Amino acid sequence: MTHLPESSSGSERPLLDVMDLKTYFYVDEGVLQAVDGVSFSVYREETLGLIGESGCGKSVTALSILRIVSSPGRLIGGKILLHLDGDTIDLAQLNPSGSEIRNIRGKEISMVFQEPMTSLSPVHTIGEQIREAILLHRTKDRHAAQDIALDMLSRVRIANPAQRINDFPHQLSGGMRQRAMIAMALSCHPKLFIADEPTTALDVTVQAQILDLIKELQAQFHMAVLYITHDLGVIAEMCHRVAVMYLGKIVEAGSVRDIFYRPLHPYTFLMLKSRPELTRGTGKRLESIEGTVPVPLDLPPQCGFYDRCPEAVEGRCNTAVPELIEKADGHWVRCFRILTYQR
Amino acid sequence: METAERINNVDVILELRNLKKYFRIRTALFRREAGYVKAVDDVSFKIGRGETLGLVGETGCGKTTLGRCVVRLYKPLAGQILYHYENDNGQDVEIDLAELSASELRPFRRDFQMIFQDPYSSLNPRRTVFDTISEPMKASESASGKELEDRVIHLMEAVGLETRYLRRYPHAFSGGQRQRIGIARSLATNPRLVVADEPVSALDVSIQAQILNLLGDLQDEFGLSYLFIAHNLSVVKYVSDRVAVMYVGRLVELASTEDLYANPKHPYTEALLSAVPISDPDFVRERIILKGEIPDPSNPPSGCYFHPRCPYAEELCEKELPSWEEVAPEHFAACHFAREFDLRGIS
Repeated sequence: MTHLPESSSGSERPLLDVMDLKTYFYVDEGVLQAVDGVSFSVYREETLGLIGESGCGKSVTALSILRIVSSPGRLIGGKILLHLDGDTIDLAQLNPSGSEIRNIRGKEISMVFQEPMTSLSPVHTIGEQIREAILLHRTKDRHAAQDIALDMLSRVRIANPAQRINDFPHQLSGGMRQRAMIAMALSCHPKLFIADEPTTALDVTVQAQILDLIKELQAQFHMAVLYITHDLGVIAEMCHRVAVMYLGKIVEAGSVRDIFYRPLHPYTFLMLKSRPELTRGTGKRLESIEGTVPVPLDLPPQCGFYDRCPEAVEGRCNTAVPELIEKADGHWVRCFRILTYQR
Repeated sequence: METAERINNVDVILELRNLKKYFRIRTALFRREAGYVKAVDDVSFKIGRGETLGLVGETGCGKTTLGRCVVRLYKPLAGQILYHYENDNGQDVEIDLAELSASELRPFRRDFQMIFQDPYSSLNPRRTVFDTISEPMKASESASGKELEDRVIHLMEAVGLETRYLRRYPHAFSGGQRQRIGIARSLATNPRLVVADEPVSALDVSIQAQILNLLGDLQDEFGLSYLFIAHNLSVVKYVSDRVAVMYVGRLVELASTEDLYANPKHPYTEALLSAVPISDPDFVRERIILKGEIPDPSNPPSGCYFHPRCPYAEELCEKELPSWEEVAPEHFAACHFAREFDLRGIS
């Protein structure tokens, strides 16, 4: 439906256009509207952050793009337009187990997850796993594949790559596994790199190394990055633009500075205010949001944030779902009661 | 070493002296080297009444093991856990908990409780909220019958849980609510010190704020001391009066929160602070990226454990383990060059 702000690189066309994406889960209790009309664009060599708390649908959005949502989830609406040189493919139309999408996964678009062990096979060495992707998409020459794999491992700064390449995942530390997964994901130089909470489970010093690495590789390979996280610090550091999700919808989107310095949606505003680093000194209370995120089941036709919003107006906010509108240049918000500032 | 009994004019309730806890590595049949993981290796500090001491460190630093030693879930290998309390005659008494047997420990257990990280695995799924919160009271025989039930209800109210959920099971609650149940349980026996081991790490940001506010309110209401173990440096900064930093089983720095964050004296602390992503897009800073990995705690480097990764390491660092010293007023560090540095903190 609505496209998101253009990138700072001007009128360059996006690499990926997600339009009104809907992924629902058909469970015993009813229909879980996990992703409910999500639209955004990702541009080359730019990082779009997708932020939100548990249950907002950010992970399902990423899985939908790669068509790896498992039953009872189903992509039931919208378009996922991947613009490759000359060609545009709608990923939403592809058969999820067909050869077309398999050609794209690992080659044009690849993904890393929070828990490396969910995507690393415990019974294969990391060398075997990295080479598999290369042999599938880049070259049939086994020696060349080995060289590429070794090169990737040293690019992700794994020490002693020639030894480590023959290790099994359990022989590596958490940080090394994550780096191995990134090596695997980037071995075929994808155009779009999706990272779903890749550093949440890692120590902060390892996280710093990984974030640095992603930025470096983005510049080297001119990749677009879709970075999914709930961590505001990581967003501020990694992203050019940000989309905030709540209950399956994007509630605000804009440049990273827009989001951090001029938030328009009460949810964004409260999320920013609840950061502990803002509160000077101990003893002062933190701002928090009352209540918890509702389950996206049988949602009434009202603003998803109504029950927890301090700005909510009965009769207005609980009678219809607000649309996503462009309030300022490139800054979009979904709210009847948009916050105004004197800045 | 700290010799005064008062830290910042507050009474000490617990003092750890040279605490050690090692875990034996089981030998495989044909491998002859049996080693030890030196999980906690010569740790000393004090906690004052009503104080929150933050404890930070990364994987393998030993902070969880240390927390468990404090509540005597583990028996330490060596060292002392000196507990200061007032006995029935109103006298100030000091007792070493590290030495006590299980039965000798029993009357003291109610004074030390723990809140765990994972609200999903730390509650017995077959026990109702009532069972979970009342169990410590039953175990210490501190209440029964109607009094017990009243106390459970009072605790649920104190942590913001609706009392009509008294007979529900954990699966009916969200992560934040389960954490509140865990907190209510930890308060059941009126403890003096609560060890909170990553109490908010598994929670969303907005729920985190709710729980941190709650912990602060409870501290004020009940006069609690906290040993707050966490890896999130922003959270630790918010809750703590003083902060201790651990690396591979040893303490590397201890100071007031303000001093530690603004003027770290140990290179590892400096690197940790520098690694924290700052949620401000305009914030520019040159980050210290440590090379290498955290060492294997069963086979730490020689001399200072941090030397292979330390940007300032010299020959001495490889040879000699630095001693724990007061390098500035109330500011302790284990580094040969602590007094000479001008390290970068976060202001």
